[in-house]
Amino acid sequence: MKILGISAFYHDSAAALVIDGEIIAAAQEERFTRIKHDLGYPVNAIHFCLKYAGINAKEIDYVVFYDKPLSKFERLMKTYLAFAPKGFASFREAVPVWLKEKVFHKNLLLEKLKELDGNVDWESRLTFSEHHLSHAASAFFPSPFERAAVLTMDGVGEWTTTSLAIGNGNALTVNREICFPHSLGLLYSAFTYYTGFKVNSGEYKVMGLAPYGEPRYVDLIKDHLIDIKDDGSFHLNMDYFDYCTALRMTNEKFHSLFGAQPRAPEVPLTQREMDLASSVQAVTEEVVIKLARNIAKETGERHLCLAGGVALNCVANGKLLREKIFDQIWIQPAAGDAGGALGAALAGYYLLQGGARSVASKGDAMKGSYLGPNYSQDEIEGRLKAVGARFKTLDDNELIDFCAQALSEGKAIGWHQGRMEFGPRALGGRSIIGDARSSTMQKLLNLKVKYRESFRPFAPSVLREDVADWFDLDSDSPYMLLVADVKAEHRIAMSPAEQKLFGIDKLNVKRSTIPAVTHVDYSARIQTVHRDTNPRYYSLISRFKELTGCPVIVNTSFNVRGEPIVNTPEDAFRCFMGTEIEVLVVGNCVLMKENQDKSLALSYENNFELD
Amino acid sequence: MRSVINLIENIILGLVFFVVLTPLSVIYRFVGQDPLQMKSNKKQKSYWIVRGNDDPVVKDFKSQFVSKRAK
Repeated sequence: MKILGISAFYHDSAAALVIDGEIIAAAQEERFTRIKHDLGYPVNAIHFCLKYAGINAKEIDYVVFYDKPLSKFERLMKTYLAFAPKGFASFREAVPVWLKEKVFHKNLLLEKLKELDGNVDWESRLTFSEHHLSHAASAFFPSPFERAAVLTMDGVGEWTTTSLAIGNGNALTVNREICFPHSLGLLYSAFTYYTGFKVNSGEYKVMGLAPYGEPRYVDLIKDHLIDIKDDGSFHLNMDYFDYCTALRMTNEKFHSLFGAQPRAPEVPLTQREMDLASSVQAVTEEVVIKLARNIAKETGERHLCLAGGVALNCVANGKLLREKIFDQIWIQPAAGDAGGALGAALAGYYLLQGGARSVASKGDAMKGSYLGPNYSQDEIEGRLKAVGARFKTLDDNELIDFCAQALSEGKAIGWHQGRMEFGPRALGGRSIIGDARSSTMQKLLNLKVKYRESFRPFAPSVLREDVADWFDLDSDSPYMLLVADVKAEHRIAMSPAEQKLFGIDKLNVKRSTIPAVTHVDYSARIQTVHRDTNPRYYSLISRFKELTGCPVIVNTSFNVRGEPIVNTPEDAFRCFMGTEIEVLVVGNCVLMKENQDKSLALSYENNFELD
Repeated sequence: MRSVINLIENIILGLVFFVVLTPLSVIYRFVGQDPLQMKSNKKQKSYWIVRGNDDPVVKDFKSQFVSKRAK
């Protein structure tokens, strides 16, 4: 049974292929088109999935789209009905788009599927999951649990913004939900907008900003914006939000409640934005923990699975884990809408087809989230030669030795290995790596590679066996979705003068023996590295540990600001040439910057958009 | 040509919005309909909504609409 899952048309289009319950391939369209958050029909991602599996389009038994397109239209109409005569500007903009294309998504999908193979009756094979069911399926079916409670939280799907499902074997039932416009995701996005960042991508920045602030607006938020019940369910007061009727998130009443207009993107950040970020983060954590506590009590389940955009809030996830409400928590790495493609395919296999499910004896069924394209050594050499790269080829041992040595000398390495990751994080397949002990690595990567000055430190990759020696965490976090503190013995106390520093200056203080990955509150966004899912990355860090005694390296996504993470060896070479990364490793090929033809360099420095 | 189309669209959409939707909206609210559950109720114990049937999704994978919900 071969099932293709598709998510498309809102943000982060993707495709995923599941064969007899096994996740074979999954990728986001943006990686192929090089358009960040590409929302078009994922034609390239679909072609990749089929090619990877070596099957023809006609062998696909079912195509499952990740949501119900017409229910979204119904929600839109009911929303106008609830607010009219307010909302004409939004109506004027949205309705023509819906009538011209969105109502006809089914036809569009059928047309595109016909392009794959015109002789197949796609109509009989095309089905539609539900948005939150897709999220729940992506969280439960690949999890290492026979049974679990499944909590999904995001902005909005059709109507649902929050849902509780129970998974048991191959069954998954949605029991309860909270509906639009009452949404934890949209509350967070409202503050993302209000603090001057881009909705749907700047939420990460708000979370990164929170540790600099004091949660001084929590009471204001809870008194006016959100009513939280003891069981964690919530209700937003729509008097303060504009997202139902206008093209912005917050309204004048919101702005006067907090005493100022939203920050414009180019205006420098102040303590105020940090306090706002800290406050909305605290409220989010309170809701998530209350929801989880009540779910544990009412369902009696010992395991929890999470998905939906809010599950990418790794700070809240880390707090939830430390509350010890559940024995174990598993979070889908592609928790956002791209993961809906995978969930749709899994829902198709288990729920529509009643396929049997066997839980993996060790770890989960995500294969480390390395589900994208890979390139053979021959292919890599051919592709690199074709773009004029100068490289040498090392055997496996030489390669690991060389890279570990280069890392210990403080060099930044572009690391392109094996299959590309599915989901928003780079996990050692398409990463830029560096020495976490270096007090200049953070600045170097920010200014010479990423071309931004970030108030967020980079994430550490640490050997799974060593995580508990360096961080207050002793469980798997293979997808960088749990935040925990650097262990006390590795911290360096800040002097009173350093405590008073503001923003980036505070971040640049050496606060631990691994300063490049330590946030101002000593927290770190941890990726545990496992021998069975990424043996080469595991060997590299092991070798680095032998050289230096430190099993932690810096891992940041292999891209520059405003660009999707690299996919092909050519993408990697282009990014390498456009930045000041000194070493690029693609498969067994090693490229040194000083040996390259300078005329191939492309400047990225002034070539990006603010998020 | 574009501006003419734009003008026609404006007129039609304006009519739909202000002549059809707005009066409906007023009536809707007058009879106490609250499709977005915007009225908060401090006395209510929970804002969770229980889904109508036990297995709401399996049978309607063909539908482009979410199955009937209990509200």
